Amino acid sequence: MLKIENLHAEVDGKPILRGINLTVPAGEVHAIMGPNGSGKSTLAYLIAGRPGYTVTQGSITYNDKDLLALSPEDRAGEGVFLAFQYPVEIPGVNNVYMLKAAMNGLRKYRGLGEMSAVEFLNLVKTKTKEIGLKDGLLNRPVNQGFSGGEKKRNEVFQMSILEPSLGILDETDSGLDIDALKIVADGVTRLRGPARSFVVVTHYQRLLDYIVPDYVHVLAHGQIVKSGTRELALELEARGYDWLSADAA
Amino acid sequence: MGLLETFARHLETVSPVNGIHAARLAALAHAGVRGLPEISDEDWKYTDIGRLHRIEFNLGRSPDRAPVAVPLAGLEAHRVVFINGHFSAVHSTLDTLPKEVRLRLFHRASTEEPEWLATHLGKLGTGDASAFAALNAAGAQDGVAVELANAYRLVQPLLVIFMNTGELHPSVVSPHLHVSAGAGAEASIIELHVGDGEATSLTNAFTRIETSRGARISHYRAICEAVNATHIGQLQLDIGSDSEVENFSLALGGRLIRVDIDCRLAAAGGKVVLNGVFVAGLDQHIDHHTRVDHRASHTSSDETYRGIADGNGRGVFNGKIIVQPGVEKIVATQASHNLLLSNEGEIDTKPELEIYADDLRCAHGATVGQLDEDALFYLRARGVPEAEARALLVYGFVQASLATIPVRELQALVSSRFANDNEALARILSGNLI
Amino acid sequence: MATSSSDVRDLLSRKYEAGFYTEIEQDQVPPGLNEAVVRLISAKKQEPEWMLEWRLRAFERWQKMREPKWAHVHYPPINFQALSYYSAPKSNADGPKTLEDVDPKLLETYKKLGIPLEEQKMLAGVAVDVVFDSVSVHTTFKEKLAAAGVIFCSFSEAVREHPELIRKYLGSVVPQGDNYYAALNSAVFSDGSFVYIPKNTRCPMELSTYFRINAMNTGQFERTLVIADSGSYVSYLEGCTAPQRDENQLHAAVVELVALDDATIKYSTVQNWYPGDEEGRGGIYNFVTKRGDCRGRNSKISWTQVETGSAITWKYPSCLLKGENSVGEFYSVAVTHHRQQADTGTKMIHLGRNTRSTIISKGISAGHGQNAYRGLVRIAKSAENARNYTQCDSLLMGNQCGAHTFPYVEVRNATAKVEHEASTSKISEDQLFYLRSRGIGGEDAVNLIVNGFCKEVFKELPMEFAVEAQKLLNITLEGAVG
Repeated sequence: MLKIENLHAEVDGKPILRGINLTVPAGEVHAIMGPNGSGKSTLAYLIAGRPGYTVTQGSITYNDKDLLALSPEDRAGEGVFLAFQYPVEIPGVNNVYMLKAAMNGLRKYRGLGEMSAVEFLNLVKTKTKEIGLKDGLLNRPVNQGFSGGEKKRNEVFQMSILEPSLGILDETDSGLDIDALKIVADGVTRLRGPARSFVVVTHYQRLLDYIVPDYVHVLAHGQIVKSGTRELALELEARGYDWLSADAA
Repeated sequence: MGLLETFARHLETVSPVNGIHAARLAALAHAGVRGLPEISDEDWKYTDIGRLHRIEFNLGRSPDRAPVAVPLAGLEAHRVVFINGHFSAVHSTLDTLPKEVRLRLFHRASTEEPEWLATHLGKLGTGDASAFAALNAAGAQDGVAVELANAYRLVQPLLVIFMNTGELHPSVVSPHLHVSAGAGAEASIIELHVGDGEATSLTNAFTRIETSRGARISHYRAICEAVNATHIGQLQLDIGSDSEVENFSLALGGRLIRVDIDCRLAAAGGKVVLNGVFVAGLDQHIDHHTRVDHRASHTSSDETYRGIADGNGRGVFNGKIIVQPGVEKIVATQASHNLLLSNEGEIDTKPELEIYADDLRCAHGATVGQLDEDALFYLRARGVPEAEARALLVYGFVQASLATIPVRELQALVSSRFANDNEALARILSGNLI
Repeated sequence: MATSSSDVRDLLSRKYEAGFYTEIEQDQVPPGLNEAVVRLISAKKQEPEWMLEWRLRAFERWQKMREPKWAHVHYPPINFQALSYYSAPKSNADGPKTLEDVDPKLLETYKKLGIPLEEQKMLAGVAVDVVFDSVSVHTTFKEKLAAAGVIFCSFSEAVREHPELIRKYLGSVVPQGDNYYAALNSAVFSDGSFVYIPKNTRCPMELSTYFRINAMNTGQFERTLVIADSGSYVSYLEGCTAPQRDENQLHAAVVELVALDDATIKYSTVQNWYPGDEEGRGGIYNFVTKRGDCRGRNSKISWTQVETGSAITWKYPSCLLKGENSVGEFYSVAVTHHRQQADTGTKMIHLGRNTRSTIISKGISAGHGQNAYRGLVRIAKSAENARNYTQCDSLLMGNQCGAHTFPYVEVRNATAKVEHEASTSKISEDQLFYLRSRGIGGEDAVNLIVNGFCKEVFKELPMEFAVEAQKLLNITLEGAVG
């Protein structure tokens, strides 16, 4: 279970989050919606441990472990996976090499031995087919020269290989056409299960047509100003964000 | 005793045979006139070769018959192997060479074609030949000159290995490789300098590649010298009309490495691609000086160097593009990207343009920085531990250039040298995943 | 282009508008350089003993030094014994007390140059120190500046009136033995400007020095020292002209800037020394050492230069970034036309933590001009988190000229980020055609493109200077594209 309590955070002395409270039990999908600049991506980064943010108050725990005290790789070891809004291009580093390094890093953290190359490659092959990732992309440098859709698909592909228990999707729908969106959503839906939860950060509700959330939270000015069920997302689509922001302000 | 004196004494001990000896003496005299470089010379301001004057070198090393494991054994290639300066017939495969490839070995030529050899060496003892080029001619125990017939396309690469092995005392070897490609000829040449042992030896290599109209040559030059060795490499590229030469310079092993690449584009349509990767680790000093001289219209050059300095290593890059008066339609680009990974290390880069014409597009860029923090976070967020993530990014930095080498075995050789220094990286790269 | 060759000749003949000579009675020391000359200069200026000794030490060092040869410029050997090292308008021997004491002929000279000395006619908000050959002839707005506590006077006056400041700061940025020309200047410098901005003071107006070489066979060796005390700000402008002569004349100045904690110095130069004629006869050899010392935390020194004149320019306005968070900037436009040669650029020496520097250099080569950018960016081991960005562009006009780039990047700290970009290309035919097809012809089209190319630098100049600089550039390049 992911538990965020009274989280305040700032960047370069500028407050971004002002008291977030959020609990995501195992097996549930929670959507975080909100206007641009509301702090959605900051929240995603804070869970994954990106340097450059200062937490001034509050806590983030996952399965009763203090995530804020852990390095990004140890958080990944605890089962956290962040699908980036802007997946980073890494020239010269082959996709498969990176995945193998990640897989072995995670297994080591969990006290498991390394996966054999054969076993690993078989896994990669299976998942490649499932996600519909073009074969050629596997042996290319990470995200380099990928189209926007290919990058996002690569994120979901990596997630399906590493099988996290908490997936955070940061605007995974942005820049995708409807076909790509479906494929990405299918990948996520396939991973859903009683032991796995998701935090889906999105600006638009259309992604939620494909990844149906259990709860929807609206973030504005660094606070969750409203929570509800899937219907809230539809209402947001119809009415926009202004009515909520006005309340918060 | 200075380096020149060492050569002079050595030549005195060899009894004069013929014109070859005279050519060597003339070359030594030329080296004396030119003088060995000092740090007060602008081109050597970052590289001090003073240590060479303080070492007592042995120049007359005799052939060593001990069995040797030669690298790139798995590569299908025509092999010419020199061990400690001497041709090694057992490791070479000359008989597979087709008749369109004329190959001359200096030790044979000294009896079979002495005049040719005297003339050949004599060229390095005159004119604007550098002191080190002249010293190569004065000291080359053996060497190889290759001529490719017109329109001949060599399928397998020509692999020339200069190996220094089992050295106890500092010695000087003078590897010499000369390639002339006839019109329309095509070949891929791998030049490998490898060494082991602890001795403070000197490799003073000279390589020249000249191409005729339309010839296409790929030349991969890798330096993996022994830990205390000095490598001075002179590479001349003389590119014919509509001819294209691609050069890749890899500098990995050796205490002090200095490579001078001098490229002349003196005929229309000539094109050169220069790529380089250097990794200056603990106690290493690696200096590349490249000079691309656009002497003819419609010539182009494209250069990318990637350098790393770690530990107390120092990496130097100096790239000069010259566009001579009166030429036109020139495209020249140059990039020098560097990673400085330690506060004890140093990167010096100097990308120069010297332009005397106007119908051209020239650009250069240089960066010195560190690993991309975003990429580092991305990898860590995937569960890659920090040390391994760093190793992977460093490897990726050079791999961005290395990946363009179409010779898989050579890539693997470089990767394995990287992995040697880093256990984590070795694990990631193991299992032949590509 | 439609312009006929005779039109072009017309343009060229009226090119150097500051090229006249003023007949004025001179107090000139005979040519030659030895210890006696150094003593004579010092005596003429009624200097205290310590100043003389300082000069003599510099002279001793200079004699042991050799002329630098590394620059990408060519010129016949200079006979340092054939130059006169001191020249002053005679009537000015004791220094003018008020404007009425200034020789009317001098006033006339400056009027011709567009620099009226009458304060009421001055550009509002600009105080000027005027240096004619070897001496400062007049400083305007002294009283107003004094009210703010700002000291702005000739160097000679500062030696007499503010010896404690001179002794503390002279040579503290550019040591006597720094280089050949700096040593020569230290021995024989004649005059120049001195500026001191007190703590937490924003200088109430732009300060400006106007340099003029008039006499024949004279070297000009002025010295400028600007000190910005903690929390102060000053903007300083410098302009230069010389008469048209067939002989080459030597100008070897030294400028030292010191910025203490939180201080900012903005130093702008529009250099229009006589460049020589189209065959390369005559013109000034401009061999100048300029250096700023960001000594304090959060200090900033910004150099802006527009170099259109001189036969040979050899100068590298530099910044020593010692203070934490200090900032160095260099914005440069250098133009070489006809046979002009320029080897100019900057040095950014990063020593303190979080120091930042920006270099924007625009070189324009026309005719047979040779233009070299030479720059050094050095990140010392002590400079944590240092940043440098360099952009260095060259524009070629004609196929007889040259554009060269020699950047040195030396990095010794693994937190540094240094980025250098350079490009060289000719003036775009496409752009020219586009403008012409819109009805903008000939020189106007060229000027438009060139001004656009230099825009990033011009915007750093104070308004009045920006306009002047743009005009100068256009005049310098007249006839460059044909």
